[in-house]
Amino acid sequence: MTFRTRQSRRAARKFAVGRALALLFLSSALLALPHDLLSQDDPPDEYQVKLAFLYNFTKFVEWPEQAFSSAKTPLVICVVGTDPFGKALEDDLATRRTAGHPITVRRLGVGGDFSGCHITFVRAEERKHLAAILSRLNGHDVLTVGEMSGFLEGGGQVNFDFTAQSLHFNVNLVAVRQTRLKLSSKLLALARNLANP
Amino acid sequence: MHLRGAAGAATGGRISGWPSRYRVLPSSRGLLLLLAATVLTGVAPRNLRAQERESAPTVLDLGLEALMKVKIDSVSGASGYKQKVTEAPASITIVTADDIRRYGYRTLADILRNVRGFYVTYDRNYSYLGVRGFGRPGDYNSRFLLLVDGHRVNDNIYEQALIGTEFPVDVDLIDRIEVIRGPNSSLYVASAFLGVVNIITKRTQPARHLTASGELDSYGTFKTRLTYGNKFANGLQMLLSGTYYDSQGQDQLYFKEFDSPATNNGIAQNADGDRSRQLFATVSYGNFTVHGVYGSRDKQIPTASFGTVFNDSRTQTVDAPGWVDVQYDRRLASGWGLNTRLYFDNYTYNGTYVYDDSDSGGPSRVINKDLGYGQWWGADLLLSKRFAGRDTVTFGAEYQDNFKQDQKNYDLQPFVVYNDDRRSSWIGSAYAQGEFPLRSNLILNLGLRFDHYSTFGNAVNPRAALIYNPFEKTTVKLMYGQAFRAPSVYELYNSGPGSEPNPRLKPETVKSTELVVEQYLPKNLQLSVSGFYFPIRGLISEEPGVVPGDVIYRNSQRVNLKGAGAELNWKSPGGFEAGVGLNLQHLDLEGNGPPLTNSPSRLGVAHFSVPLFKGKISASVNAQYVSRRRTLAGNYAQAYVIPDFTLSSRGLARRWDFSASIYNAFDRVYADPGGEEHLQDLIYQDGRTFRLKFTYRF
Repeated sequence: MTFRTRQSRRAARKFAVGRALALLFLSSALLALPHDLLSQDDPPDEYQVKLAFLYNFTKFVEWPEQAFSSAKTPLVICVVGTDPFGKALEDDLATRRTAGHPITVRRLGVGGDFSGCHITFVRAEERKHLAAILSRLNGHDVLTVGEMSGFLEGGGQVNFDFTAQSLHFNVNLVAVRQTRLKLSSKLLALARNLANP
Repeated sequence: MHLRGAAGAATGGRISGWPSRYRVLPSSRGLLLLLAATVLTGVAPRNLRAQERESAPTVLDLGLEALMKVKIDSVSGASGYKQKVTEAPASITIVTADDIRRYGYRTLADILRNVRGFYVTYDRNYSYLGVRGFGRPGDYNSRFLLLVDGHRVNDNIYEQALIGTEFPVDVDLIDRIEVIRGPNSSLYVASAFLGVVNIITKRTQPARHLTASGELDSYGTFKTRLTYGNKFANGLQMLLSGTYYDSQGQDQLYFKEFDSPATNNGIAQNADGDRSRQLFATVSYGNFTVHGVYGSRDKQIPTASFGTVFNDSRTQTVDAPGWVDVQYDRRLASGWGLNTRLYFDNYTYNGTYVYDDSDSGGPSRVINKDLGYGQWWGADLLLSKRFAGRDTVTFGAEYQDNFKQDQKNYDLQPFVVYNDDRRSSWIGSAYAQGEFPLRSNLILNLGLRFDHYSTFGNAVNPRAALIYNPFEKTTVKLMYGQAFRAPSVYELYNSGPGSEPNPRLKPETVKSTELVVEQYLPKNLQLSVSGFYFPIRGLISEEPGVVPGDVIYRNSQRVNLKGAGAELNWKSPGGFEAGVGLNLQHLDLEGNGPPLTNSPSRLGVAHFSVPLFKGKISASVNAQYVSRRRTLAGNYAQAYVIPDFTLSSRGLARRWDFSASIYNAFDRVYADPGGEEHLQDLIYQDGRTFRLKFTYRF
């Protein structure tokens, strides 16, 4: 080790202690201040975007009158499979309304009670039960949304797809027409593909 | 890039000493300022903050069109998508703005050295990217294409991609980077030989319109940025930003090769300064997007490269690229997508080199000016359509008019002109690419590109790829691509003492084959394995010229690059992430010309990040491994592992965030091989350095 190096190492060590203390103080000062909500530079992840899509769907789909017992009845999004959305996002959703209806997310198993659902989002992990789930929902006024290949072909109504780093959705009009749901033309215009399998 | 003394410097063959470590830590004054700023800004009225909480938009406020534009860099394998092919069927790595924040990347060079298969070397003037073990000192990053929002950054004289502090866009403005390995897309200029780095910038700052950022780094370095972004009711979006960067650098840099009384005992004093300013603007409205970028970076050269006088702080280079780029994108009635672009670029290189001519009877201090002025404009057109059978076709045409490609070199006093070369040239290209699903899980991608260069003529390059999904979560890509790199104006026409032009230079060509397998594993794991064979023909290399002592560029060598790589990445919804990647490569070089130097046979990257305080702070470590590399004198730059640590907040408070980083945490001494222009065989890099960064949102 040359003289030059030893000198600089000693100097660096002396500086290091003082600076480390300053850094510690700085960080504790920062942590002592009040914290607040998430910043805006947060890049949304896959399921944040999907829930945002589902929320948008509630605004562009018309359910028949019987779907809601009153103007204040919650609009229910049922998730079949693991709920991927997280509490923070669902709390945010709970503060919003569509046409006066509050929106809630409910988790269901394959054998669950679908009667209260307005939208049913089928997770990809439930692919094996797809036929069973869709046959139970057949003819009911529920918007079925999936995220797996073969969803539309199996009779689902809306499917998410991922291309070029972004999400979009496809619609199976035949399946939609078997219900009394009315999908706004704006929604259909934005669908990547309108399938008529 | 520099003329005088290009052939002169004999390599010393000795290893230089330890670099100075003074002023490594940010100054105490700077720290106190930062602390004061923190305390003052934290004290804001509570009710005001509560009011702002209600109006802060989240993803649920986005409409359908906006949602479809949100870029998601990865989807969980469990979601069961057949990952569709992007426009460039290739091995792609995506680096996001979140990665840049988490790992404390300061420059584009920091980002790229952490990409698997890449390594960066620095000679205290420019940063150079090596890809797949290929990165000869003195190659000015001309073999890969650097784009910002699709706009080419490589200039029209040296074809240089600027990646260090000389890169004109602040990394805080980057939304994400797509690193595309290999020449596998016809969409990109054929000279995207080793790959393409496409930087996509942010469009706006929707909520907090004005942000300011301040950084303090070691060696008397600071950087400040002010950014304004907004989205107006009529749909107009804009982002305007300015950055100023000033680094004093190491004020005492020791080089063993110059350790003698006549040259200040090997110490270059106050000669490592680096300063830059950058302006950035993006405005988008309807189908139009306009980008404007300007940067100017000034670096002192302490190494006495090109035979210049040692310890004269006047030797420096200034690089100033700038451009305006207007794009118009539209979906036509028949389902065709139209993308058009019109751009104008200006690039100035201004080098000052101080020489001692007393040996040949001249003055002991002569200032030599080395200049490059490039101006060009161009237009691109792209049409693409996805047909009912899921076939997608793309057609494109490009034109670039290099109306100014001037190189000048002269001594100030006595006034002697060595070079005054003015050129212009143009390039016209057309390409077609199609994606054809042969089966539900097999896609064929074919492309053909035609280029006409007014300098050397025509080139036709085909590409082909097969993308196969044998299982739900497995993708196999087999790709073949031909590409070329046209000789630069510098290689063709540079003349003056020590350099001979060669207007008959032909382009380098490569016919590359690559195989990539990507697999989604349970528990959010993603594995990627690849192998490549990359034979380059007609490599443009420096050779001895006709006159003894001169150099000339010729198509003199062949290189066969072979290698394989693997990468495993893990990302949990809770904010944990980790990854490791390794690349092994072997290069065979044949023919006359410089030996293969600066080529590591093994490269590794690793990263690990944990969320703290409910995910508002992340503690991360990233490390690079580069195996030993041969130098020009036949020595070796020893292998190294360099870890960096960063503690960074995101959304810690409504108005501000901070970041604290330690680079080269264990103070490892390591060096990069010097080039022909350096007396130094090895150029030592900085030891442990620190950075503190603070961002405030008004």
